[in-house]
Amino acid sequence: MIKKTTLFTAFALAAVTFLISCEKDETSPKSGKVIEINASAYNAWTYFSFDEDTVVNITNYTTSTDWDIAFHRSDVRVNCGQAGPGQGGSYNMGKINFNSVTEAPADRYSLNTTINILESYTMPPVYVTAPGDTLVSKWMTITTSNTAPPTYNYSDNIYVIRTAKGKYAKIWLTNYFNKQSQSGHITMKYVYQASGSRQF
Amino acid sequence: MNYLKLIILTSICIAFSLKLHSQTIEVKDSYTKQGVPNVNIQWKSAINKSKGGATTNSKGIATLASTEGIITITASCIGYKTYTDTISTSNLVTIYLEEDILNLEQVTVTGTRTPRSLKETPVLTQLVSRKDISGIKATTVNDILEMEIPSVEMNLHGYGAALSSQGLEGKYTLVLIDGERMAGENDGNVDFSRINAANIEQVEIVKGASSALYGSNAIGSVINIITKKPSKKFEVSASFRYAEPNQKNTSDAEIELHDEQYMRKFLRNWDRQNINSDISVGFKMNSVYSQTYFGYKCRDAYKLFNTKETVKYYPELDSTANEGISTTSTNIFGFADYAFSNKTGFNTKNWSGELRGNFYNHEEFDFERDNKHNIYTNYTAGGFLERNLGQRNTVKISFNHDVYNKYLFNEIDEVKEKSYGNIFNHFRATYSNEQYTNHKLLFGAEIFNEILKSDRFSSAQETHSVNDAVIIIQDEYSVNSKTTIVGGLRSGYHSAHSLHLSPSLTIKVSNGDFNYRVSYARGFRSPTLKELYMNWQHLTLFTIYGDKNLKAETSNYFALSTEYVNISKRLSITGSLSYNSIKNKIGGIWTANQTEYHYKNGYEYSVFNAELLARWKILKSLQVKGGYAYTHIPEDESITLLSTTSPHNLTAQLDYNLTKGWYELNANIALKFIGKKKVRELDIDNNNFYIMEYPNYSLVNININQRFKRNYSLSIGVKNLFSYVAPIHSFYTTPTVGQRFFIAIGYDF
Repeated sequence: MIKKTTLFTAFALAAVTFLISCEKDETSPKSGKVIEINASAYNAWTYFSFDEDTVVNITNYTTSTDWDIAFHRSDVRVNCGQAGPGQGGSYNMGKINFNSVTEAPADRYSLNTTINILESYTMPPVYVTAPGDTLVSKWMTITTSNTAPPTYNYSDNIYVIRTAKGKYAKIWLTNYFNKQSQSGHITMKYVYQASGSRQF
Repeated sequence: MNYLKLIILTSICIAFSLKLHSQTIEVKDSYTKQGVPNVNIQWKSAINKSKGGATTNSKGIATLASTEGIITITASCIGYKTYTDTISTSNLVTIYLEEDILNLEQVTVTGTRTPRSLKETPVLTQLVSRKDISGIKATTVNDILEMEIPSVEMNLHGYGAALSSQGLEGKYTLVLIDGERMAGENDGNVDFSRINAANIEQVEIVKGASSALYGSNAIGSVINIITKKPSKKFEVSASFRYAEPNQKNTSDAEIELHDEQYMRKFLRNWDRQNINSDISVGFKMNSVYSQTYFGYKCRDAYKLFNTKETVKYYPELDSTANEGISTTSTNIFGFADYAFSNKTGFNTKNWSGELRGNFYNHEEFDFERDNKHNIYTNYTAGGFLERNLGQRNTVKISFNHDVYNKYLFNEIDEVKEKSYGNIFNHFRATYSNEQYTNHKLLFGAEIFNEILKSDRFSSAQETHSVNDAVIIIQDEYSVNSKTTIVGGLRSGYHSAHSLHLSPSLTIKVSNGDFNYRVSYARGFRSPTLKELYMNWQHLTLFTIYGDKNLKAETSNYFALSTEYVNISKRLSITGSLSYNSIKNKIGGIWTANQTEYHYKNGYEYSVFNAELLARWKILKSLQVKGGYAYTHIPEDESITLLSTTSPHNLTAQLDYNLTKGWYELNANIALKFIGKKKVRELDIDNNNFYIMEYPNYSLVNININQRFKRNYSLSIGVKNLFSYVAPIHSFYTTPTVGQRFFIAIGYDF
């Protein structure tokens, strides 16, 4: 009797679980580090150095080679072109598996020009032009509307970043929100090749 | 010897004839000649005081225990006319029940808050029966209202279903479940997803202001959703419905790109299956009954894109702006929810009572990759106790506690944080006196208490509340056999807007097949706690301010109607005209360079409606029904929002039934036509109103329900047969991706 009941309960539970729950899948461990960068300020950029493996303070970004990539909300700049004196650049590998990117391209990196950024989120909003990366800044686009909350469209592209000192990192910007759902907190997954080789 | 034999034989005969025997009754449908299950049979002996009752089985047969001699039987069943006859007991008695085609015998409670059959209710009531609901294979309240009430349009507003009816927004229609108010709102609409069609017995619609009986919000109409109650000793029903997905939003390859479990779950939730499943179990034993219901449903999320240019006309500037084809999609959330409910009660000669409980959990799957989504929950506890004082006097006390919470669910940590909590407490005491031949009196005293905790008040998790204490008097006065006058009056003290008084008056005159009604009623809508106390900054862009000095909106409602009911022609037609004028309508104004939005009283709004409803059973197997609603709003430049309802709305249904042995077929084709409409909205960028035009459209659904051996059913159908997709999507169009098929199986015992 107990067996029967148990069997029935198990069956019922299995049925309910099938109906309600989502399938779980095993996570295959993939290489790469993950960092959350607070770029929520409208009036400032947050700089990151792959060598230091952390966010760094930069007083004058146009003259410094101590940073590799910087964030302002969803805007991105790398250390090259109009944004800095470094040997930086960016390359869009497209929406592919992060692990499948095993080698950085040799050339045809995009250099920084200028982008339009929202400097003050007020009524009316204030936009200014600033040095930035037109390619990586499109990792996510925001569509605003009068009648609905803004929508966030992630490209999920994998980018290869050439650092200020000419080394390579592959990055995937996976999230624009932190755990508390505050915007401008970017989650970056990355693999940095400190040796200067193009192999990841 | 012979004498002895005779005596023995006679005594045996007498003994046999005196011996109580059981009587078998067979109940058949007068048309199909099939047995009718679940018929409640009450019998009373003509000789002595014995009496009893029984319910027919699946073959339509009932056994009345211990009957003798001549008995009077009353056979009643939902969907049939009540049958009463005096029979002398014999082996088998077959009786034939006639179908209640026009639902005239169905008991409604909304019009006068006392049970009245549709035939005798003095207040004009539209009834959507269980049969109507299963005919259109409705799964949600949305489906029912959209296809059965011509004046109703169901749209999606922000986070949930929104109703607009007779030129009025959702907040002017009071939606009740078993006569009780529902806590929680989104843009003035209750959460229609809380209740599933499988748990609905019938829906009663009373047009016009009914604030005298129901209080706030009963300005445009009252929609009372009556949940199922067991009708036989033991019943089980289960159903499962699968519909085609609306859209494929992601792929396995895309999901595989992501390492994090929460991201994979987030993406998968977009493509939930379209499933509705319900299980209900009920029993009725002697005087006790109980009904338990469990329902689970989910739907995929989808995006709708415009295919036509957005053209806005600014009347004040006399200029037209063509914004091109918008590339922004209108996103419709997916969801998964479950509801669990139980009602248990008893009925004895002098006492009856019921306890109800309900739990509902609704999870919404949006497209926003922001680590959170909404969860809404609701629980209800309520009940009543009724005492029969003899001579048709009853005293009833009831209590309902309804809680609606909104949460933000953190997808990474899988924890939820409450952002909104709304509680309704409603105590009622009612005394109804029907002992006088000409007057049916109803006295009520009520205390209503609402509590709202919201993150949209000035400090997070601030709480506000209102109390309303009222008395209600109603007299249903039968002037003569043809004329009935119903007068009602509500008076009370509301903590937010002080004393209020709402009268209502309906005169019904019956003449042959015609019933004429004239009504006047006052309606009101109390300002919501949000309108009173809101203080919410939307990002850094603008702030919405409530005003604690807001007054209640009041309305004057006038209506005229003619009802034609011809039982022999199986035809009923109702035509009505009404005028509803709202004063002190609460709206909002933008100030301080569009950075502040303030609620304020002072708008006037009036609406004129004409409606025609008809139901005609042309053949025994074929029924046509439908309705047309015309809405006219006199132009007024001061109102902020023109009607979002189209001036012309129409519903039509053709319903075919066939029964052959153990096979039953029901085929239904239903149409909803929504006429062209113009909607006026405020452009907050330049503080000018603009008008947008939406074209007319039709939605056609086909349902084919088959039933085998009474217990098993198989339904297939198609929603939106002609694949209508709005060229411009907004809050004012039906959010559909086009034609979608479904299949459903069911089991009823």
